[in-house]
Amino acid sequence: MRKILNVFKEENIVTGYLYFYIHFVVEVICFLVLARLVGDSPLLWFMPLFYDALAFCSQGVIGYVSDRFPNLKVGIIGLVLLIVGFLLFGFNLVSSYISVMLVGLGNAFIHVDGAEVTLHSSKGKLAHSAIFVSGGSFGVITGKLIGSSSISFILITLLGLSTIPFILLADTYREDRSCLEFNCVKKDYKVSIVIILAMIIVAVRSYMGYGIPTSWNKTVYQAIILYVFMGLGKALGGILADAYGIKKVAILSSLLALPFLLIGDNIMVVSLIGVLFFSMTMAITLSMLVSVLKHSPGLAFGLTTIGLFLGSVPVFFFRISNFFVNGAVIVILSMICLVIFKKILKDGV
Amino acid sequence: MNVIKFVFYPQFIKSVIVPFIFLVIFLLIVFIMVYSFVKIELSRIEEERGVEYEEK
Repeated sequence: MRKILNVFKEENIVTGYLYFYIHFVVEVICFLVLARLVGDSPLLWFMPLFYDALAFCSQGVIGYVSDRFPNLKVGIIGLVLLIVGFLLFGFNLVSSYISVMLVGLGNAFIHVDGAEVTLHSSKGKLAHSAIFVSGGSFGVITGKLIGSSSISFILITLLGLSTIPFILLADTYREDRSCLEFNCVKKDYKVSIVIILAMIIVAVRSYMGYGIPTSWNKTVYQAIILYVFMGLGKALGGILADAYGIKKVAILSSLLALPFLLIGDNIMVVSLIGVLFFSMTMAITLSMLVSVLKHSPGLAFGLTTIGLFLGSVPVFFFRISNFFVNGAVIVILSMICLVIFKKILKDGV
Repeated sequence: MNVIKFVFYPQFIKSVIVPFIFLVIFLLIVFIMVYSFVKIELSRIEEERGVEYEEK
């Protein structure tokens, strides 16, 4: 327990908290737009795919540009795009696709800035970026919920603008931007192989995230609890990895998630424990990529988001409805991730 | 299933065809760019490893 508490005393951990709030607000705005656009229309499923592609895939390019031009204020550029896109949507001035494009790109810029700030200030620790990433889950569910309410656009715009001091303050924590101290991958493997395998893990986890059997999730309250546990899992992954070691957390969380996810289809508490374990590997895959791309954390982060997009694409077109087939797919994919973690991660990290 | 909607609803296809084409072009450009960035990084890492090896 003391080890876990010590994580909260790590140097510059405040960057994680700052970007937790920024990430939360950004996702609230993005998912409010999506919720209002899509509503219950089954024919508008293309809009979330459009948004995901822009927000996730562009992070690879933005990340590399941000790595090469460190003085570029990526966070502020992202906020401007986000607010402009949101206002255009709110006042119905342009096609909704243009609004979604601006909002998605704004989201991508801010994500890259969050990754750069938290990775550069963390001195090889994971908690910073894990806390930053976890804010998104809370923002997604909040955005979805208030999207169906009649909350004022001006109020949401002010909420978006409230992130400016947080972005500027977080920027002051950037340390020397030359090279990062992450080192959790064995040197026996080629860098290209590590990149491909880490992206496979991210894609597999992304696909599985949509396939998790949650028949119990029927009310708004249960949906909120589900997203809260996802967010907690993401943050805990980084915190526990710093306290007890990356490899231990990666393997144990992958193994422990399986039975809870499969048995918990109809039992909320059991399923939530599974979701908590399942979400823990997010920060670990990021640290694998940053360990090999030490000069380009922005690009490394962008590769994880491309993996997320690639994993989610099949879900837009078809879903496995048979519980047993779905369960078998989850078990096989989890085993693939487990083997990759075991082979690639260094012992004792 | 969304695949069926794509094939059988002409009204749906009409409403998404322009953003769909834009999306495909965007993704192609992004993937090519990211692939080349990764290639640049890989050659840089190889170079650094070579220097480390020579120093040893």
